[in-house]
Amino acid sequence: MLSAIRNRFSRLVAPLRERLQGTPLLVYQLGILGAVVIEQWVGKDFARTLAFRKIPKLFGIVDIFEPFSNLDFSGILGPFFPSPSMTVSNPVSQSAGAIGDLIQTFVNALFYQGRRDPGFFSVLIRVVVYDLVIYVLPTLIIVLLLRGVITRFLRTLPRWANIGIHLVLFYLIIVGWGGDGGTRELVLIFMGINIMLSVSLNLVNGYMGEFSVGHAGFMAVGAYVSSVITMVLFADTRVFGPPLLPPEWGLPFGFIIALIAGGIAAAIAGLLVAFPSFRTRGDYLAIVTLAVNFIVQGVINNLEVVGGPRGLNGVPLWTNLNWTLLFTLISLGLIYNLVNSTFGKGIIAVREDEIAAELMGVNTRRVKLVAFLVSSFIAGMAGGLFAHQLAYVNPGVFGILKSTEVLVMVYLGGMGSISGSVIAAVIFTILIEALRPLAVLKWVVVPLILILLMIYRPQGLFGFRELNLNLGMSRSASRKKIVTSEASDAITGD
Amino acid sequence: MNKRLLTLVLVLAIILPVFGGLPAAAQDECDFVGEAVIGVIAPLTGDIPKVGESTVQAAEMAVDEINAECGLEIDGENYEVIIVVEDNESKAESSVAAATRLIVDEEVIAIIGPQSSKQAVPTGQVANDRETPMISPWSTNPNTTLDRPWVFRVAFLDPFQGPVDANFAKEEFGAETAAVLYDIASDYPKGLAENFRDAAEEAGIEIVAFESFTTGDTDFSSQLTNIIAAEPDVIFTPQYYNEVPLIVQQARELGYEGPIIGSDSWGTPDLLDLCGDACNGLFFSTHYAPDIATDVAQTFIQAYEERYDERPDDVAALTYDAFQMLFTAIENAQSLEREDIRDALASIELFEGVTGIMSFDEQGDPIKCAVIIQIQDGEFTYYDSACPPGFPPEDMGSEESGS
Amino acid sequence: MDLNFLVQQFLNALQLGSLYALIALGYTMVYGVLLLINFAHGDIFMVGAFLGVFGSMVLNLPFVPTLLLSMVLTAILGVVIERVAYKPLRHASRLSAVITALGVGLLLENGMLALTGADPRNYPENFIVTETYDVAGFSISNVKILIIVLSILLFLGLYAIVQRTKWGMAMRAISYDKFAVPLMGVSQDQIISLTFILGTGLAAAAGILWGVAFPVLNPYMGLRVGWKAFIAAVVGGIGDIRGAFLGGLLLGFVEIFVVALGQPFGISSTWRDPIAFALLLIILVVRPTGLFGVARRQKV
Repeated sequence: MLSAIRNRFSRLVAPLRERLQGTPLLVYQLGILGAVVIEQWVGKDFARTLAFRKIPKLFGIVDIFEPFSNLDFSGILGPFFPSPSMTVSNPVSQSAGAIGDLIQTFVNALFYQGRRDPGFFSVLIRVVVYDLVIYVLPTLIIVLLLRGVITRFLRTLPRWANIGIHLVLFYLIIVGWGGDGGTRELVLIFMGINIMLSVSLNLVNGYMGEFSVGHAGFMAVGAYVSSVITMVLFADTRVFGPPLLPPEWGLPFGFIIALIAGGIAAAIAGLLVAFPSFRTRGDYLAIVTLAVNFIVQGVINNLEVVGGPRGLNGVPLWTNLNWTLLFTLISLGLIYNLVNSTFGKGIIAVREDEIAAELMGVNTRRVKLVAFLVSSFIAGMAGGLFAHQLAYVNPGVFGILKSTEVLVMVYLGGMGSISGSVIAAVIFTILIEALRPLAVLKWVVVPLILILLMIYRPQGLFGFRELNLNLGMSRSASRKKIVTSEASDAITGD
Repeated sequence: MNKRLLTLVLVLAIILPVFGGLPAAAQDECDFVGEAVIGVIAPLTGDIPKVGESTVQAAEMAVDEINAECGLEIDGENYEVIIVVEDNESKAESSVAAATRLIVDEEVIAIIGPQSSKQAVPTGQVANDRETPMISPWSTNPNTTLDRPWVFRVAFLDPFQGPVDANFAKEEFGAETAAVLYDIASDYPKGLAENFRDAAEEAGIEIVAFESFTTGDTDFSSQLTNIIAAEPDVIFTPQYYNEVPLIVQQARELGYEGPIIGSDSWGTPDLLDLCGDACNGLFFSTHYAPDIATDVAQTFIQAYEERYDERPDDVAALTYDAFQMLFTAIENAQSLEREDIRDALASIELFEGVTGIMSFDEQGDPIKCAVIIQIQDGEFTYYDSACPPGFPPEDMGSEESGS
Repeated sequence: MDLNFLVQQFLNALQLGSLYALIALGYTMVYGVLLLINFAHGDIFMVGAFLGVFGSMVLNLPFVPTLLLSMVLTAILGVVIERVAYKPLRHASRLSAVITALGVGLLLENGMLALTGADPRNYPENFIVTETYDVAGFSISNVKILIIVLSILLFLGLYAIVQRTKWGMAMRAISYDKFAVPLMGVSQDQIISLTFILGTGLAAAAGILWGVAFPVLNPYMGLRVGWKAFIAAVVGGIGDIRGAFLGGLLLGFVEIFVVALGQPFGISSTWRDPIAFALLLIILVVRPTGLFGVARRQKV
């Protein structure tokens, strides 16, 4: 049945796919930009026509799950594990009753559950219509129209202009779509932070083959150090009193300096892991990284100056889309250049066989040191951005759960793949946002995905491969872009 | 290709109405012209889920009541009140994130919550920075509202509650010495423990042990052994209903037989079930006692009991009061703009709620009475009241002055 | 500082330490046989405690049957987890298995929260009626005695199984060389299942004892306790059951005496975690294989 539908569908889109074959990225970018403009222009009215209260924020993904926010699963096993205030006479029948109610609510959620809450199908259909009309159709039309012209135009461009024009369009799309100061911006900021975290952890776990499980610890150091700097210097807060410098100096220079200082502090904390890594590997190093995560948390818990366990209040609300974009791109550039340099080959060599690498003249200590430093530096900057987005930090944020989140992203994307990590961070952020209406269930779904991933696709989405973007460059210009770890595809793990 | 598209459109046209279709327009007798969206932040999961449950129950009741009377009336037009509930998992960071989401995403006109000071103090900062009115029903730590013109509350403050408890220890038990056990990782216990210590020392009680633990600890034997070795007359522990049973039972197990006093965080009925006999006879200070309720309170208690089949606890009462205060402010302001609501909230001078009469000082903090409750045979029973000096003003209040 | 005070704190430490020790045993056994850090172990402990609620509140069973029921059911759960989640990864990268274990842990605690609700649980009042005895100036309760004695008995039982029985010999053999042992006609699957049965059974016992000592249970209770027990196992030398037991006791003593002796110096219980983890780091640096661990030679 399903495969029949899929066949039908693929036959339906086959001619389209054929026509789009080999279309350069820029054409899609233009198409999406067109869609973004159209949404700005008529999106709101169109959403109203479809009886949405507001424009669907993330392509309607959140709206689709919203009807299920009333589902309460706690009655299923609740009667078997009653709290003292609960009266249980017959747990089986009570549980059966709860399951019955649950099914009832679920069916209602599918169809119709009251004037204010439309059912799932209703939302789904409207979301599909909205996305088709606002995003898909305009994009397709523009792509089909501009395809030929742009492809030819791109061949004439030198490499730097090509990359520049892609970046400019990318920026326009992001700001046009997400610069609303609302949910989209929030989600994009988290996405950027998550990209920084997952890519930086991938450097250690994927490229170097170590197993670091305490990434949130470095994030914490960065978050606290940068927050303290901006608060002491530029903000009037209850904790540190009036600012030492005129607050108007804070942006942009103070913020940049604070973020970089946070990164450097995190890198110094990274030494705590880097040095033991000279002696220990594998499980024991994992334990060391874990312990460092806990120790960082524990030390902050005991620093009364920064509020101890109660956290640091009144961090300036400075992080916005532009800052996040800037630092995300800088981090990506840093890692990309690092792993594609000769030094990066050394990192990969350490993963494949440390002893052999040593024999081949790779200074394994230096490699490990640099990898851990860069990784924790970026995590620290991500922490700084995070703190200035939330305006509040406390040690509880940077626990093992946060570290696990980053691990999920890295493994979802695939070891040793930057594009994998980026895409995984994007998917993960959207997933978390989309599942938000499901409350607790969100944290059932996420580990489930992780487990299934480990069992059925342990290499992740892009294990040791990179996504190849069709930048439409002439052959000679794109020659340089051959991904280094392609060769190591076959040799996995320990 | 075209034929297929046509089919698709036709199928959609059929399916759309079948699957509930578009949400129907308002069909009630009230002619709502718009909505007033209010955010609620409550600890639905985490350490104190009962607090979250009470919050949501009281909120839904308050909202249903006002919508039954055709919502908020502004310039002769009716606005339907809608609440958006966010769970903060009883964590400060989640609470801050929830507030950001409510303000930025849901575009709420005001936030009710969070309840515990641990969350209310940082969340108040965000609400203040993002210029959205916030009323914390249950938070008693002064820092929640201090220098924050956008943040309000309905509960009394710990600098008032601390002395109430200290005086009670002195008068009821003739305490000469006292010990404190509190959670250092949480604003409310930490603040109140310090207020109690200062007040006790002023009242001539010596603090012989001032022991702390961290949120999530379950083994207090080491701290309690320290405390018992110092031989205090009373132990004061301003903790929540998931920790009080552990503290009380372990203290008894380690041989302590004296009184243990608590604060308003004890007042969740689940405490009675979790603690059992061990808590029988203990005292704590809180916001209101259902058994001596005023007329306003009686109406609320009856409606609540009818609807949820349980007695409203202090969280429910305070949350309900917070909503009434917000509604009053909105109707006074005749506006749904955040700024107008803030101004109207700030200009409320006297307010009679379920939890008694309150007047407001220049920080926007209420001045009101506290009651002392004794746990008797699995019930919270009214024992005594304590009011600030010269309060309630004139003869508005029915309660006698305790201290 | 008088002697009574120290004895009292010693008893407190013994109680906490034996609970940690019981959980640490499961960590160490699974590691010994599978070389897998079973991060879900803390949450299995939680499930054990919750099954105690099932036995005592729903079936109205007294203490001992509840304990046995919970141990059996939890052991089944442990074997199921191993079969479903870990077995497919036995030949994959070991890190995949560790990540999976983290996932299983999250799944257990959040699944429990989602399916049973967030209200805290406890055991009925007549489950274990606490009695406090005043002996020579310090207090000891029947709960404390029960926990300490039962933990030691369970440990001795486990030790006897591992050292004295054929099954135990097979377990030790597998942890010594997992390739050679199957060649000797010992079923690797059976031994691994047995390991999980013993380890999770002990975790369940620890869960119920924990619930008796600290009767406010919630789905996240295993999180911190699990990490602590994990430290205990590593400190003792992961893979060695005597080490795990001693590591657990040691951790209990550290935690209690940080508070007991630290307060005059302004060291509050917030220092428990950093001190415990710093201890872990130091031991890993000084004796990378823990107190009892045997260094494994890495073959080049």
